[in-house]
Amino acid sequence: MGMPVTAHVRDPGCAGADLDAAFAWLRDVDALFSTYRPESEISRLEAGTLAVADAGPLVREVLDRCEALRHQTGGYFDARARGALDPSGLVKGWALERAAALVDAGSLCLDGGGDLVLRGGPWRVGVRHPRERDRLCAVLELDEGAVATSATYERGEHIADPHTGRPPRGVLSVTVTGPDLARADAYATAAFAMGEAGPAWTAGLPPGYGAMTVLEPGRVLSTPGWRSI
Amino acid sequence: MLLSGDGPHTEALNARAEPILRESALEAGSADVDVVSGATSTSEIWLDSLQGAIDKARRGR
Repeated sequence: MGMPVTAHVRDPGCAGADLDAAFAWLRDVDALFSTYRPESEISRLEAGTLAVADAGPLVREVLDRCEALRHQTGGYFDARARGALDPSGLVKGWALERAAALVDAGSLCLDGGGDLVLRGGPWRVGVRHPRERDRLCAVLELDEGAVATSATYERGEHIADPHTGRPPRGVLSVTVTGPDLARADAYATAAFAMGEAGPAWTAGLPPGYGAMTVLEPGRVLSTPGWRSI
Repeated sequence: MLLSGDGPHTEALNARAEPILRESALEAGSADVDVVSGATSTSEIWLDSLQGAIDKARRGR
């Protein structure tokens, strides 16, 4: 997935072996799902040398969840948004949730490239300002849950509206909080792809989820479920 | 209820959803935080990013 993962642990009793298991799991996920490795199941599905029915249970689970989220987001979250099969947008959050479950620590934060799984807080979480890379535009205090941000301020992060193939207009960043990182990340991606229509869509997110959208030139729209301090 | 992507149904739902959104102006602040959420996506960028700076500062403590 080409993504740095950092574990923050505030628990002297946490066994290093748990963290080793969590990172070993993430490497296994990369081997199964990487679009850069020709031997991964995802690459073989795309190449037509592996049928979905013959893929492993983890890959089938992820593809099923991608399909459910595609329906739930009106097609704005799409594992084929750029043509080729690429479920990375769901895999990252899904894999980090499972990695966190492998770590027996009272207080844990897993950070996968700015998308977070939090346990045993309080954790003070800053949301990166979409234009000023070393500033924050919001601060959250969370005991547990997930935080995901979609934006295009970094190279390599290109979100297109799957319906038009073009980058959305008028949106700078979308951050979603909620109980599950895979869903929060998919919702943030979908809302970003909707552009200026995203904030109204986030108002209908399921219970437990909240969203903050930054629109051009600097309008911040947040849902009732969003709790910044 | 989730809104579908487009069409008249969505517009009707959006018209109801809009008033419950809170609007504020974009601020640029700094605060003592444990971690930062953002769309950093490669290790090169990460090393140079705010989270990278926080992690470096922690290691130095």
